[in-house]
Amino acid sequence: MRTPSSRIRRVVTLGTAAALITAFGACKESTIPNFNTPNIDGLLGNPDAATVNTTVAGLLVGLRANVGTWATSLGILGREVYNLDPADPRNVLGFLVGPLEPGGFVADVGWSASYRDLRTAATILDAVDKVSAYTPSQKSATRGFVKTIMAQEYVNQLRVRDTLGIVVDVPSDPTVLGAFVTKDSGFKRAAALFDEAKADLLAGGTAFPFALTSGFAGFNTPTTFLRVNRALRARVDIYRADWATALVTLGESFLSTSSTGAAALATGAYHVYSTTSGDALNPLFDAAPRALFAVPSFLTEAQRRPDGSPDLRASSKALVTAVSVTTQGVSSNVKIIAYASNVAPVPIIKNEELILMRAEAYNGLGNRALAIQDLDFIRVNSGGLAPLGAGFAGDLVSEILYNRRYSLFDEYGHRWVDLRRYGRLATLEKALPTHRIFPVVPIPVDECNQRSPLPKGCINIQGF
Amino acid sequence: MKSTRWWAAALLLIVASPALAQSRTITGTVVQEGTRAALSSAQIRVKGTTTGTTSRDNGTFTLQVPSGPVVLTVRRLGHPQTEVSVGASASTVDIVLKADILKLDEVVITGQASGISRRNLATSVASVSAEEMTKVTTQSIENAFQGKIAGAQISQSTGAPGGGNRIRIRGISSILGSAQPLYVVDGVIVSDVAIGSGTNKVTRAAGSAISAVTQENPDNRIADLNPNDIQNIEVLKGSAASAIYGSKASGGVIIITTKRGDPGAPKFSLQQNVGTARLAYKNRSRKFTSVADATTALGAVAAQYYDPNTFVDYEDLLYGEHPLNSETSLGVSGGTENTKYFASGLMRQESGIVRNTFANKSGLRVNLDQRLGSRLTLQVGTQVIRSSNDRGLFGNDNAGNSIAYTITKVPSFLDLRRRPDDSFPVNPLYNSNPLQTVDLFKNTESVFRSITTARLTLDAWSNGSQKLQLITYGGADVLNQKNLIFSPPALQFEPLDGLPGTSAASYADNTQSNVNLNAVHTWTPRPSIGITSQIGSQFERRAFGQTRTSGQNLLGGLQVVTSGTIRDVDESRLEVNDFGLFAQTEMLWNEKLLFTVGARADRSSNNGDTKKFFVFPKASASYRLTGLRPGLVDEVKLRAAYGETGNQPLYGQKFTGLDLSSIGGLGAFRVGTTRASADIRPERQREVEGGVDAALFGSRANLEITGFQRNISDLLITRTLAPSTGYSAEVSNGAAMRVRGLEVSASAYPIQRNTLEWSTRFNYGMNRSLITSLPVPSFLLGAPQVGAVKIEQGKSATQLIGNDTLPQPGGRVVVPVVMGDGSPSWTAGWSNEVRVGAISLYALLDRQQGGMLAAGTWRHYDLGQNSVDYDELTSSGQKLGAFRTSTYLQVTRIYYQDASYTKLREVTLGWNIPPRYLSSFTRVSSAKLSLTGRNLKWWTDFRGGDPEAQNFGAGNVPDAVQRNRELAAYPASKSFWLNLSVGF
Repeated sequence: MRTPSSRIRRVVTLGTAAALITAFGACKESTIPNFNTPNIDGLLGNPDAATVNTTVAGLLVGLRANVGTWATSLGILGREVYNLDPADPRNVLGFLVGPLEPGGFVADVGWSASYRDLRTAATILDAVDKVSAYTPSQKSATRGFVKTIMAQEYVNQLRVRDTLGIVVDVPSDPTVLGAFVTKDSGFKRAAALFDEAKADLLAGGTAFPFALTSGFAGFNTPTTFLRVNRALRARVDIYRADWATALVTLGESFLSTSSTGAAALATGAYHVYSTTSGDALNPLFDAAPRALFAVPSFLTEAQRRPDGSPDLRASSKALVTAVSVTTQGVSSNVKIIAYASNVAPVPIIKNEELILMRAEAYNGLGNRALAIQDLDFIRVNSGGLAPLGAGFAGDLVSEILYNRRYSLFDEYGHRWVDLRRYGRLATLEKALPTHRIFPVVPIPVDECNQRSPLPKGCINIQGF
Repeated sequence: MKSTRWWAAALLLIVASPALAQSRTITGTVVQEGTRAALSSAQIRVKGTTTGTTSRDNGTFTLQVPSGPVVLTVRRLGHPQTEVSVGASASTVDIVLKADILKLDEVVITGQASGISRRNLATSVASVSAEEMTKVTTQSIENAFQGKIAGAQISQSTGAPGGGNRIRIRGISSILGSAQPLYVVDGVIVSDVAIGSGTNKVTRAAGSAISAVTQENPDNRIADLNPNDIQNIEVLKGSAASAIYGSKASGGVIIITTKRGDPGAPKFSLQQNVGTARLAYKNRSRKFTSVADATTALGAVAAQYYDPNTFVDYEDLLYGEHPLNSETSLGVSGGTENTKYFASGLMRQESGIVRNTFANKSGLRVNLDQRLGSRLTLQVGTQVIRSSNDRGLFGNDNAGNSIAYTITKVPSFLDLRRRPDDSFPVNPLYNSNPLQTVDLFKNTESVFRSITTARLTLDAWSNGSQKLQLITYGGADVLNQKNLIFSPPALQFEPLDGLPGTSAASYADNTQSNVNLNAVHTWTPRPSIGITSQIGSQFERRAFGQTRTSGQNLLGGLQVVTSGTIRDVDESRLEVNDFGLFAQTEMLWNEKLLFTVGARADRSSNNGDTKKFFVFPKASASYRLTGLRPGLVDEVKLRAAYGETGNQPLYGQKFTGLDLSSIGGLGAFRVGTTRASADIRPERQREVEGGVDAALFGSRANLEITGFQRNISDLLITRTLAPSTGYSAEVSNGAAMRVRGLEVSASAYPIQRNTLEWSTRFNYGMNRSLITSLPVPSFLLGAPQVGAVKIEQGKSATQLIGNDTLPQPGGRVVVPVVMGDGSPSWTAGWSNEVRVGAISLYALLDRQQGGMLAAGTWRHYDLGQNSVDYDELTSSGQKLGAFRTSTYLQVTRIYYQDASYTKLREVTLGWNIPPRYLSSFTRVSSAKLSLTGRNLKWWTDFRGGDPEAQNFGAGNVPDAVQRNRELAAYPASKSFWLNLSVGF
């Protein structure tokens, strides 16, 4: 006969056991997914075409991420524009007074975003061959597009770091760091990758498997996009002063002087914006203006048209307004009107630049007549200026730099890069005696901290 | 759990109750020493057995005891445990309980479902009583802890109404994981989530996205609790004490016990506070003495506004409100032996020193204890809270509109005051007119929350020496928060982006629930030995969701987001399931030697391996040396403890995500910036703690000294990767850190007479951290130019790096150097209370020594060339302000300052209204009138604002080590209150 207490003990034991089991059961579904973002696993293993196609659009987002950096940050270094944001005086103190330090405000300058884009690109390249829904030509077309963007990101960083060199390899294992290469090998790698992309695009059939934005209208098939690839490649040739190759690649690009209209000059590939949630707004558009101003000399140094009015490229891109902002002793009342709205597209590369590149290449090869012919095409059709004329005997480099400054204002930080190429940075104005001109931007501290020995770019740039 | 099964078990047990061999009945009374007031609810137990009873309303009790002499052990909350011998022939006993002013006999939680008397406790557990909590009314309970807990650093991030605090217990416990303590109310883990408001859409402090919330200075939701409901708070500081909460506990655990009913007629307690507040710290501003100074600072345009005879004090205008605040709290307690209740209501209305800012809170709590049989007790508690506030527009800002930021840029000669026609002048020198912003900007928050707890205790079985209890408890905490931001088109700064008017609406809901099942077995094999063993399980689920929307370019003057032509949407969710098992055994010998071993095993969906259990063991021992030198050293307790706790990875840290965005209508994925580690697991903290407690001078004083060393391994580090990898950071476990510290607390009642009383309490805590192992290269959190924390092996986890300019061969160069440490070198609190007759005076001083903080507000006064000492000259004749702004990017230390402070936290002047004045109110049993104040006086060298203020981060964001930036916070205030407490 069982005693009452042992019965109770049994009930209690069973009860406790049941309770514990219930609790166990309740948490069986302990695997909880990531609700907020898709996992990178979608690009590994057997990726589907939709995921890869969406990630290609991500490359364009990545490329666009630095638009403000190129036009504004490099624009400040090249005294095209000021950021007089009263809330962040480092845009004046950091960029104009310096020194530029790896750990300072002016060091990243697009570095992280460029390599993030390269990581995304490398991930797509690894995935492309495993997409079963792609045809061989679609795979080739995708590779060609992705490699073009990668080469462009190399160029983006070479422009900023110049003699300090950059990293080109982005190994798939992120614990392995790609080596720093010199400026020359960097450009060589970029040119080679543009050419690899060309071969891939030529084998890419008639259509990309993914959609491109309206910024690539007219350049959204492998064949037509190849012209953008060549245009970007020609920029590398110009930067390397490889004038003969430049003329060849420009010949394969979308360069055209067949029409004199503004639309023809503006033909090209663009970054696009929209007000859709999740999309971005044009970072160069400052309605008030609140922070972004043109350097006043952009208007005062503009050449005059026959009727005495200023270069149309100056008056159509900047305007004196009643709003004047002073930050840390720097003032401007010149509003930038190069972009009409917060969704106006920003050029990646456009026909007007290609024509100026050809002028520069002709001049580099000593062919002044053809150089003047291209320059005059732009002077007349874009600036409304009088042509230089075949008899022009002045310094053509100055003319090229002048036209590039006004044709390409507030697009890509051209002026700083161009003056540096010709060793003319010292001609830049200083608003205050404490201001400095900086020829390069150092390597950011997070990059330096991970490397031993330190790359040579991990130094303070004192400027002059 | 099927409730029917419990009922069946309970019924069985009631019927089968074994009879004890009893031989006589004694009766007695329990009374308070001195007043001889009857004490109900005292637990009377025959020592060495489980036989016992509780005293009735009138203090009497009846108890069956074995024949022969027995010893009765009497426990009651608020009184030291007392033993009374009853002779073999005695049939009545008179038990007199003293007041437990040193709290030696309060029961401290040591197991998931058990506790032990503080007299034997083997770990250092701080405790804050209801009386200490409510000395001066506070916005949030953490404010009531300030200066009262040895080794806890509690800082108020913002002075905005509604609170916003951060607690660091025993120093750093994580580099990037959550560092906030776990809050447990009556057994239910409650949320302390801090949800950003959405003001970033206007201030652009962290970019323009609606989803960025790290710089919005949110209030943390523990502020919803009503301090008047709280009976007691225990702070489990070390791992040995908090190991019962396993992988959630390395930041410490704060256990809150709410008040419960006492049997008897209803007893009411009414607290009425009325008060006001004043700005606590003034920066003042520059007096521009010439038009040249004005134009140098503000551009040529300033010339037309310069007037040497105008001096507008914007701090007075913006921070000069003298609000009328009130708090009413009414509680009632009563019941019978079988049914006890406690209910309370709260209404608090507090306005800020900035117009249109406020924090209101109202709540209702009902706690019910019901005996369902002789062996089954049900305790339920439910609380409903409604909080709302408007905290204005403060904090860091990149758009020129934050009020505290803008004030640094407005020169005193410029008059921006409201015109007679009610319009505001346009600020010609900056983006906004702060007076207009105060007037028109709305930042409203409202929270509806309910916390429900239940506890079912079944005395399942007992015989003469053993007892088995089954305890199930759990509950849910559900909160909904709504934040509405409205920045109307009329605000000066609004049209600047071409999109006049900004509206943001955010809705968040957080649900936490947990269920705990426990079996507690107590066994008294001999009168001198008590063994308490338990096993238990805990299941917890947390889910959080948040939807944020914003609209810009608002049409038609509407506030609704859809009236904006440009809209932004963000939604995020998280869910966590945790399961833990717990077992421990506690042995008490002769009430002298206590020995505990136990372990908790946890698994969580946040870990990389969700099936794996992580085990957190603990062991502790204490020994009381009694009767040493009675009257001088009454007793000394030696204690030692070891315990392990963890800190879970945060939700999502185990995933490498693809970021979502869009471009020109195309959806886009980009590889995320943070790379995850697949085997991510909890951080593990192993802590050894030892200490000595002494009761001195006839229990008039006690002293508690604790030393500890915690070794934290598997630290989660979001270490910075070389950006050329395409990632900016990687989350993984790996680093190890050591924290050593010392805590001392002492309290004494040197004078205790009818007409004169003096009591004093002191606490001190210090700790030092050291990174002992870092498998990755040292890395920075932040940039040296503005001050960064450098995580480096062999160095403090909070060392601060900043730029300095040092002479080198070939000239001066800018190099990063160690500036100091972000953690204070020690903290201390000291309170005194003196009562003379009916008048009492109480004051609490709180000191933080050391620590460094970036003085962002001051820097912005300088950058606006508007600081009060701008025109003073350096030795080289340069203007001081110009000198500072021209060098701070190269010498970070200029605006990084010692954050030491002493604050007069609490002052109370009280008058216990003598009964003769109350004779016309026959029901009133006690009444007290007090004049109280909080933060009335500061002593600090820190310049620019409150040295406690923090711009970045909220409770749970991964910035455990990085809390060293003050920047344009809502200014701190001192508050004054008149309090009337009435018991009836």
